[in-house]
Amino acid sequence: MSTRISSHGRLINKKNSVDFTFNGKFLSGFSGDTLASALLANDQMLVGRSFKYHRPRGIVASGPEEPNGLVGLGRDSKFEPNSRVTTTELYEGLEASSQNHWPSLEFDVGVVNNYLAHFLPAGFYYKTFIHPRAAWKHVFEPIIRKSAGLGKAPQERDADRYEHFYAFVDVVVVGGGIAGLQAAKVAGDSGAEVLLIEQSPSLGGRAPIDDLEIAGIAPAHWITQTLSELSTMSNVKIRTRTVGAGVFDHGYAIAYERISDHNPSSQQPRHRLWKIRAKHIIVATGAIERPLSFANNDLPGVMLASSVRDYLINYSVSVGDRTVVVANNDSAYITALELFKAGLSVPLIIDARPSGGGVLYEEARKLGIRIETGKAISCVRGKKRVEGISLCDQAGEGTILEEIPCDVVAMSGGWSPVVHLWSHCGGKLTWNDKIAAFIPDSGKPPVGHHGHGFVSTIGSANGLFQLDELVKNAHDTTASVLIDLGYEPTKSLMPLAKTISEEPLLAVWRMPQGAGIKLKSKTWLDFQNDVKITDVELAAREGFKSVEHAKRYTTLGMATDQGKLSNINGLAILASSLNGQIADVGTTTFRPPYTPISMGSIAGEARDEIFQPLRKTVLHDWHDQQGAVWEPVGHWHRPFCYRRTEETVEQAISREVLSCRSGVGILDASTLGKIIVRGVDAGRFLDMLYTNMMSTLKPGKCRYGLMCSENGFLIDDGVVVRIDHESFLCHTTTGGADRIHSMMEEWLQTEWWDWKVFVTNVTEQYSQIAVVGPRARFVLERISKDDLSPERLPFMGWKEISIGDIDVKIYRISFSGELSYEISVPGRHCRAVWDDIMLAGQSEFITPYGTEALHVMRAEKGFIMIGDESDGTVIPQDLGLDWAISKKKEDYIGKRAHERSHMRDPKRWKLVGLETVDGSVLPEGAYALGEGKNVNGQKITIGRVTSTYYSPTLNKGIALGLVEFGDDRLDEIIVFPTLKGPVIEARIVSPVFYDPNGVKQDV
Amino acid sequence: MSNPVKSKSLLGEQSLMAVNILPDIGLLSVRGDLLANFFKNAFQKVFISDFPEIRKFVVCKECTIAWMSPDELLIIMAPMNVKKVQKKLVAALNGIHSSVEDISSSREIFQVKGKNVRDAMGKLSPVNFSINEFKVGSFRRTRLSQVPAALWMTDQDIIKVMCFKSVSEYTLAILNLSCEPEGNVDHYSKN
Repeated sequence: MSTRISSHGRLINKKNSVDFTFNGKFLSGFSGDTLASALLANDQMLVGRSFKYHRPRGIVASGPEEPNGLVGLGRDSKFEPNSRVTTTELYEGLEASSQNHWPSLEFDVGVVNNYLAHFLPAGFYYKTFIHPRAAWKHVFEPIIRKSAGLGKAPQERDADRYEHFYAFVDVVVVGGGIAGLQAAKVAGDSGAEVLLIEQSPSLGGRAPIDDLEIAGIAPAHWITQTLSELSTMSNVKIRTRTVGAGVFDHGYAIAYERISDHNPSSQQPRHRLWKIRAKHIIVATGAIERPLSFANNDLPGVMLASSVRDYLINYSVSVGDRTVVVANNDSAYITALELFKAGLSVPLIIDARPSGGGVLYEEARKLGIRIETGKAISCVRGKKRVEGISLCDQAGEGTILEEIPCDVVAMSGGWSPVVHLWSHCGGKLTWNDKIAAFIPDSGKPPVGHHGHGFVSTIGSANGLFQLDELVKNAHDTTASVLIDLGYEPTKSLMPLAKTISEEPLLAVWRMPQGAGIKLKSKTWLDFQNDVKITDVELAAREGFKSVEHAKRYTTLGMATDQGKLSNINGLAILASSLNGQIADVGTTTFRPPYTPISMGSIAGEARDEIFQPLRKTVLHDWHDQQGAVWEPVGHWHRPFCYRRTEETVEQAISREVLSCRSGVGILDASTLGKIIVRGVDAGRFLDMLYTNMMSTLKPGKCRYGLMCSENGFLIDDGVVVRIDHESFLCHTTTGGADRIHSMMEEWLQTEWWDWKVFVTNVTEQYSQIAVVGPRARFVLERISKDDLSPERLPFMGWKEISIGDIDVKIYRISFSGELSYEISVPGRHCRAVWDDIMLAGQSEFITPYGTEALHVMRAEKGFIMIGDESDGTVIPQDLGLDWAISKKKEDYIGKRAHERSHMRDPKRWKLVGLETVDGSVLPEGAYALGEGKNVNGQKITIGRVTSTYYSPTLNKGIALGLVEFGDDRLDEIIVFPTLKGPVIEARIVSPVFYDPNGVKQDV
Repeated sequence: MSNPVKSKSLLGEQSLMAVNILPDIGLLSVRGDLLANFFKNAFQKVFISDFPEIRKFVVCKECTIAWMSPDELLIIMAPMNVKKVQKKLVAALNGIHSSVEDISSSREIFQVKGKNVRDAMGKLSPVNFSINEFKVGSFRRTRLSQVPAALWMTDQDIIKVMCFKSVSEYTLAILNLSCEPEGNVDHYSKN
């Protein structure tokens, strides 16, 4: 029985009990407990069911490597699936529920898979569900999706907030064990800026558990002493509960801080994602103990030896009264000794090494603990938890020598350095036979822009498991890093540590050595994904020789733990199946993050109203008060129309259009891009940017122009205003403002760097108000003393005038085909001018209109819209805009491309007007059908609709479209199929539906 | 927009942070070859002050002059002076390739004040705000989460933030959130 004992408990406060629930059951632990230690203290060995076979699973480990102890934590908007019990700190009211079972954890129907295991080997899905082909999409996939996945997705919006933080340091030390602390001390003493991060809430790592000595004192004392020294250094910052999650190019690291997971009722952000720029990254991430591979090694009660002693020493938890220790190395003896000293029974230590171990082995022997060398576990007995083991010879095939009853099996297959962060950015590994593990190859570090390594590993992460060599390595490596960074690491002394001599480990990849198929098919490599020795062997037999392929075929090392326990054991089995060396098989790729990080931390603060910046014009609030129906245009919100209470959206649009056509309308056109181009070469520059001639434009005049990309495709359009001899104002589309400004800068900075031109983006400096309609002049004349007569301000002219006491520029340009003025006013005065116009227009029923009325009116006039008539494949010639392409100019951007044969092909789809025969509105984006089919058996298409509206002015549907041979087909009727129902017939007409001679805009 | 003041007193006087929108500002964007002596000399006819160094600003009698890029300066002043200064500058730079544009209406400036100002800003901008790097007189063109921004430090506990006017509400919201005392990072403020 797993229970709390009276001794030990270095991390818990036994005076402070904490209540929590597991599957609705009320349990109690202490502050300082992890959920794992609290569950074990309550004899809750069974914590979940395995993924594939639904076998009972218990806690194996005590840290982030835990594969089994995954629970759903919290509820509703605070629910988090797949939370590792070993890294979840206990808090009052914690609610945990186990996963992957039905109807209950104790009785799970899915366990039937366990009895079908023979029929569910690696690759089962790939082989089974491939035929018949059509069944995958409609039958297999939906069913598999339902049964797949660990944990449940949260059903509610996340109640918590998250954030990012940018930090810049000389050295970031990842891992707060002895090595990390010594590194921080050396770096701190030298004056470097240091950030030390530690994933757990406490610093010091494993050393205080393993009864060692450093600088003549116990590790716990040394840690306290060192921390107090570090706390006085303003250049050293320490973060606990912060895991080093990833290393990227240029010394960029991300760290994941769990600020309030242990205190979820606080107002703090839940997680913080650190984005760290470091000159050097020191990885002191320690090592993870490996399981041993013997039959039924997945039963609850089989645990890592180090974890058994962690629970004892840190949390006062005895996982069972009788613990059998099984190992291939000396470190597991510490567990046996600690259990024994705590008064617990250790019936047997099984050492796979024929001649046993070193000093610790001797100590155990002297204490009278039974040790069997050269032996192995043939099989673990028990159903939902360990009840005993069968002993056998390691060298044999598993013949049972003796049955030994026990509650716990503490296993140790050696230690694997945590090399993840070293590897993330390309650090290479090398196989070390002495410890039977991959260690960082110090000659092949990840390199920065200077060609030198920017990551170093120290301590156990480097494969150094003896305290003395580990401390020396941390000290020396950090010192040499500091010298490279220009610091003088002279102040710190290296503390001397006591070492215990150990005998080398014996690489044991399966137990017993000659285990047959019966044992191997019950021997788990990957507890989380239910991968057994036989699965990896099958993969090898079926030709999956690459470790990456074998991983995907068997699912070894996938999912939330990413094979932290299983990888090396799996590789070893793969290597032996291929008759190769582990070093040659290699590892799968280590990718960030080291442990899973929350989606919220990636999003940071971006949620709800600050999910994305919303751009607002200075008139935004006014529009809102007038019932604006909003339309997103880029990041802007613009009024689509102003809907009155009794109206539909369609009615509002019609009213707005008809008001402009018969009286006067007003539009907030402030989002239009405005770029001032100034300098002696400004005209020459614009001649290159626009397809037409701009240098000849006279001050006081405006001209419509087109811009193309180097490939000749239309990218933007707008009216250019000549301000004076050396300066122009270029209007761009709303979405084009930043893009075109950047493009101008790019050409000026790279290609025409010697031209004397400066461009300034003044989009937000000037608001723009369009006053449109036959009564526009009448209204404006009421509020300005300036002469607005057609003689003084003709069509396509502009001038400076005053409205009240505000100076504005007024352009006589028209996107509606009506008499129209656009008034440019500094943003801060915009509202005053707008209000003046509204007041002056009251008698004329001046009507504010939105983007849709603007679109309808421009379509009635056959004016193109970038993004509707153009889509990145359209050239101006397709749109009948040949008149805006200068024949005289030697060059402009896109000119050469316009000469290409494909661009001159008469079959190109060209702009036409379309009118349905029955007056209805064509569907958006509809394609016109031609005769026959293409080589793929698809119907031939000969054109498509680019814009389509109901025209209130003409009282019928109108559309613009691109059609093969364009207006050569005038009056032809073409057909547009619909998804349901009959085809629609439309007549090809001129794209100018309204006032074709342009009389109305020029009055 | 009104002048919202954010203040929380949960963690006491020490951690109070305040975000304010500065009232009307005058801004001129000046382009020219900042390395050329003739430009400098002409410029200094109008502004008798030091020329700002890279990523720095200088304060002169009636304005602040900030380095924006190798060919751009920003001049911050009271709005009523903009026209006058622009006229003087254009006259002084006559014949020198340059441009002087009024951009007063296009930007918003915030003042973020408080002991934890470096930590608050460190949540939004990829800038090294350490005391040794970002000092009174420092100026950065960077981003504030998802929007472009410029930042400068006018006092040990004051950072001014400039963004585009259209995203003023967004900027205010993220600044206020970053200044919440419960989220204090206590990274730069460790002494």
